[in-house]
Amino acid sequence: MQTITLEPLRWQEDPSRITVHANDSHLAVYYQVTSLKSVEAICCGRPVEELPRILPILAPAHHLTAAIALDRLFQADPPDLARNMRTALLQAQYFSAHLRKFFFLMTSIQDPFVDFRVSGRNIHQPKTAIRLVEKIMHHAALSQEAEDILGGRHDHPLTAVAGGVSRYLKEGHYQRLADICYALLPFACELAALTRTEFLAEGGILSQWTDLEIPALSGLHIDAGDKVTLTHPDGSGTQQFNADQLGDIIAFQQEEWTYQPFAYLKDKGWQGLEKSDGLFFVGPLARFNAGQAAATALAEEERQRMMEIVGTPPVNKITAAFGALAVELIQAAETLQSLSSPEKLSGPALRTIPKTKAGSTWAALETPQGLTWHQYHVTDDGIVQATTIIDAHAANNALKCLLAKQLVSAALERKENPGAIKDEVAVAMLPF
Amino acid sequence: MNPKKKKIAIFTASGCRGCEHAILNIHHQVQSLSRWVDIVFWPYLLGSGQTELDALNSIDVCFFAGAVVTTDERRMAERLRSKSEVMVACGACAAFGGMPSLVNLKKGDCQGLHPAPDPTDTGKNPMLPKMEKRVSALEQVVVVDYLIPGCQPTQSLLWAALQALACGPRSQSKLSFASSRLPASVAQAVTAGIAPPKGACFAGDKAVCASCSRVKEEKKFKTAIRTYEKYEESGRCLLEQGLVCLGISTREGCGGLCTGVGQPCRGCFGKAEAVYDPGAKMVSAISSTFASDNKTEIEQMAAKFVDLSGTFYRYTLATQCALLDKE
Amino acid sequence: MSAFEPKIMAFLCNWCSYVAADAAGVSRFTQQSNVRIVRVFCSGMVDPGYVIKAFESGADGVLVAGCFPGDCHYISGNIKAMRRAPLLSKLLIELGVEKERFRLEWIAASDSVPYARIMNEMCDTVRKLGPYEKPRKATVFVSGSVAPDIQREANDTCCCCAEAE
Repeated sequence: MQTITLEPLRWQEDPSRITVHANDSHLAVYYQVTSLKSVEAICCGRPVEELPRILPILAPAHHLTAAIALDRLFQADPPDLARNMRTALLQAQYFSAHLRKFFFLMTSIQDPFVDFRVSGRNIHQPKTAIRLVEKIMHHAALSQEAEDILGGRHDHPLTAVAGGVSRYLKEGHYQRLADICYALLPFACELAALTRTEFLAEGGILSQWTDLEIPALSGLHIDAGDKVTLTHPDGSGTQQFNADQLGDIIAFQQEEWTYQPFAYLKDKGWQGLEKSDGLFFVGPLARFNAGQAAATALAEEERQRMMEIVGTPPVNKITAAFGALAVELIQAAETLQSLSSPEKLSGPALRTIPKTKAGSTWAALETPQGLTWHQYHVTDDGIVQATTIIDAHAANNALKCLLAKQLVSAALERKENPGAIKDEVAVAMLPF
Repeated sequence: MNPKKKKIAIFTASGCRGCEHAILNIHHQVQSLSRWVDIVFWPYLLGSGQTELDALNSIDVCFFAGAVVTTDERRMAERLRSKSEVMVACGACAAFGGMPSLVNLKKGDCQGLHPAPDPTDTGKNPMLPKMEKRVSALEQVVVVDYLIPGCQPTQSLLWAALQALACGPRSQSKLSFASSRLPASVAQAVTAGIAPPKGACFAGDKAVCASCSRVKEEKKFKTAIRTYEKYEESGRCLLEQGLVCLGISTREGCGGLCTGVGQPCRGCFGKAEAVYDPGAKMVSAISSTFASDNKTEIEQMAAKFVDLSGTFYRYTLATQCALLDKE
Repeated sequence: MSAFEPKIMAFLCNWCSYVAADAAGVSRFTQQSNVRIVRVFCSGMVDPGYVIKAFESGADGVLVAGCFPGDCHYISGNIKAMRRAPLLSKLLIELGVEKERFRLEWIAASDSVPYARIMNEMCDTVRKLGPYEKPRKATVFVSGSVAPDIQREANDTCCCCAEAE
């Protein structure tokens, strides 16, 4: 029995590795998350109003999901100003998160620490790549500034609270936000065009994935309002649920060889990773595969162009996943632009003060990484007793495992050492 | 003469990727880093693994983020320490234990609910690194030279630390930038071109109140409030408004980020220089604001405060809670 | 094996409770010898940090004793102590220090009999509780599982989660 380890996996949020057990008759591939964050244990015993400041340890957008849960718990409807600020923050988070993925993609072919001014004259480095990395970093700085303005801090935001937000924007912020969007939107369009014409084209970074069909799983995403849609991977249709039922529809399976549990559809039961009808995934590709029009004009135009390159949804390909990222970048910039005005981001009240408190609450939000769902049970004092969190970590665990197995099998068939495909696997897992 | 570039390593154990993103988010300056440093080991960004680490004879500065939760992470900390001249605990998790260390509050065994990998099953399922009995900060595992606190560390401090430690005395302008943003003892060392005193924390010595922009008046109130119950956009000190704000026991250096946006401080920079135990300091600070001489009233007010240990030691439970066994 | 003998730290204010302690000694009242006394000028100068440091340094119980409200030599120093006590007690309970280990008492200068009684009571109570040990371990819940249904107990040492015994 040969054991090969692909470790570490670049760009993954959780410390993780792929372990391969192979002999002549048997191949087992494990995507292992090698450490435990125990977020539920951290939350247990905390005052519920602290959760928006604790949960960003999972991803920045959990801040907003937690705030929505608090609104519901305290039955405090946020005023328009607060809603707009939170939505605007979410768009900035989408932009930052997706742009970071493109940055990582570029680092697969380009040293990110090369100084353009110094090595731009170096003929051995492809100039486009360096310029692009610099541009990506410049716009990442801008969207991070937007996150700072709207959320107080970027990776661990602060401003969303129960019933609203915690402070008004300053005079100069509105103009600054408008200026930021003025720069972000054209860049997003440019990046999407580059994705189509260079990355996905012949010889581009993503061209090796053009024909690869990845394991087809149902995609889960939030539709308008509080409906959640499960889209079948073969185009055979969809199922709809109310978002508040997600806790009853989704269950978790803990396997011995990874610290990250798997989320699966409860009614199908856990059938292991071999049978995929109980499995699902979330994120940009899941949203793309739902086949709905983008929310904004330029993004929709781009989506049409992207579909000509990657295919009409549902498409189970890594190329489509990156294409989806590009489209969503544009959508985030446009939405942020539409909200970056004094009319939208100012108002008489910051927040609604709660008058009552329930014993439990839930919230569902479509975040950059995918669908997130929170449920809290609290004591009369407002102390958290139990939390259930569904997010991309649990939801995409199965897809990553299946993808790892597919790529490692393919490498073995080519008589290649799986250890050599570590970077390839990292790129494949990047958009999920 | 062109002095050699310093070799730096960046690694996160358990937590989130916030500190590594904070380094990446220095944007343009990150690109120019390569003029001064060689990033020789960065698993998250470059995919560096054991092979690359083995091939390194030495590392000049290692930025270690994240709390130590598994035995593998402990071993990695030890390996990095043995190869590194300077070991920096980057971020609240590495410096003090961070939020992951909140699980240390509960009684019982860390390996509790998760089924431990079964050693007799070798060949069937691959092993997982074992969880340790307790979540540890970096200094509880290896000797740490410097601390950069914060969740995440603020960019100006991080950049100042990078320049002070890694860019070396190669650029006067970089050094003055760095020293303008660092506490006095560290800044003096940096400008003199020597290493800052070992154990230095790259943050101010005073409490956050010194940099908080809110107006401090009289601290007396009859009721305690939770952050959702009431809020006055009055620019007044949050503790004075009846909220629990840890600024009074926390090191400054963030510029009063949270209080500036109406959120009470939660202590991610660790305890201020003069504080013995953050919980004790906060008990003292909060109870001194009770405007009552009546025992029952005081008891009722005290009863309104919840989760004292999880709030006062939110980021610092592993290293700064005096009553928690650190062995 | 010798039986456990508790170490009690007593912070006594110079003007009232220390005088009472002195008088109790002079009057040769029977007292258990587990008490270490620190004379402070006012119970109000006992920072919560001293109490915590006492426990950290090996005390099994801590008593803070001051003048009765209204009799403080510094007018309201003992009121400051009174303001701190409930919150400090709460924090200590959360950190695993049982309620009975920390006491705030009012003892007048002439109260030598109550002083001896209180000290003996405290020694007995703490002896029954056993030595104070800093809690060291942790329980971790696997991400995705719902914590078991919990009841908050009256003298609960920390938060609401069930212990994995």
